[in-house]
Amino acid sequence: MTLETFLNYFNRLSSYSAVIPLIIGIFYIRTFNLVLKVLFCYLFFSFLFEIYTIYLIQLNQYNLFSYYLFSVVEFSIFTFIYMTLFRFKQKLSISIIFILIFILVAYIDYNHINGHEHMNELSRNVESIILIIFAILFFRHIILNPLKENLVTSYSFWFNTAIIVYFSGSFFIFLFSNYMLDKSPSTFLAIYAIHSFFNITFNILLAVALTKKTNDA
Amino acid sequence: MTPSIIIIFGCLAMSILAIGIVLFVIAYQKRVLANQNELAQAENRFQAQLIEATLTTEQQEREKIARNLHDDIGTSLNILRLNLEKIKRNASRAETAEKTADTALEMVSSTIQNLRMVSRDLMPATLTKIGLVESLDELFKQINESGATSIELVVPETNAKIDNKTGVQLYRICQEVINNLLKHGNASAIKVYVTLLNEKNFSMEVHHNGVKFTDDDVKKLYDLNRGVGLKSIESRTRMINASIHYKHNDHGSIIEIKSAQA
Repeated sequence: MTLETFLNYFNRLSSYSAVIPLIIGIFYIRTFNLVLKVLFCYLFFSFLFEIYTIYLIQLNQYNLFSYYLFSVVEFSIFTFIYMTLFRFKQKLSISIIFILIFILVAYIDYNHINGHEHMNELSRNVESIILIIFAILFFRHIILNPLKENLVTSYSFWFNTAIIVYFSGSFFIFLFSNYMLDKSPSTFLAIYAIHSFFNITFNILLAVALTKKTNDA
Repeated sequence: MTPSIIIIFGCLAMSILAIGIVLFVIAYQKRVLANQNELAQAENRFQAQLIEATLTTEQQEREKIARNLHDDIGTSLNILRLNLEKIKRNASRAETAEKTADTALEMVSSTIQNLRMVSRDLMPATLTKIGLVESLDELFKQINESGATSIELVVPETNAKIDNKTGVQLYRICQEVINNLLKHGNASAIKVYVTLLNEKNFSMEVHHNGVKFTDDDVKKLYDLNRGVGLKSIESRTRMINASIHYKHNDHGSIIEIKSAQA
């Protein structure tokens, strides 16, 4: 097996890894609170998106517009989850403000900066930065309001860890995603494998979050 | 440096940073939990000490009452019985009978007095009848009469009345505090300020010129598992949802007892 074949399989495995939290979620769905229900909806949406992407790749087609759409949905869901975890009374209103701002960024990115022929670098990076900030603020929130039980038994901790690890680890890949598209397929595969690694980690951490107790947030 | 290298190193650095943050939060939370456990255990230990101190004090009070009953009242009644027997034997001799009867009467008066003292130790009659302030006033008068120290009660005019349960505990606290000051503090002048706010809330300050004594000293004694009297005071204070602090400034020392909402 050549390195290229291995990387191809690895990247494919990363796409299929979206099914892990989905299956785990089905087993634990009865114990879910609002946050985990919303997260489960995201996982379902993400799984459908991965299937759609794989299907397009097999047809040798690329629909980069769908990435803009995915980013908006992903950002909206994660923002709502964070507003709930922060226990904001006006969580819906604050979430809507953030989402509207992000839609504006995605619109500018699509119409004036990267367009439909390039990856949504700007919106993806803005999303990453905001979510990393949310994750850090949530850890600060945990430090200031310590949970009465061990942190690793809390779903919010695992969710937050998934976000901070995935968006921090993949940040530079999002930053240079259009550069990568212009490179040779072997370079693209090699660098994209880093993203695949973080994506698999992300899905595993979310799966762990779904198995945890839901009485802390 | 090519962008590919930047991407690889960037990803590596960012992921290390992210994992570092996660590990830091886990370690921090573990430390907080450990501290909380330690505090809870210390509180439990302290509660156990307070209970022990309360039981010890109660036992000491019982022993004191038993001793008083046995030594004073018991002895007096025995002598009284002997006197009555003597009167019976000397019924025909009027002079001897009268003399013995006088002694017996004196003995009865003394026994009544002793009985009052025992009764006051158990529950000051004035406390339930005329209230806390008057009871403290009476207690201080007795202490002043003994000449052990000069003690003054200062109470601002108020219509507020403290409930019986709180009043009894506050009286006992004051009694124990004064007792400690006389026994260990060598105080020659004591001023007690009592402010009643409502049924449950009050503040009491005991100003004295005795030995300097602060919260830190109390803590040191507790750490050495000593200060039964102090623990008893602390226990009674907690019972009425109040706190006690020992302070010292240029003007002397203050023992401050305040209910939670005072």
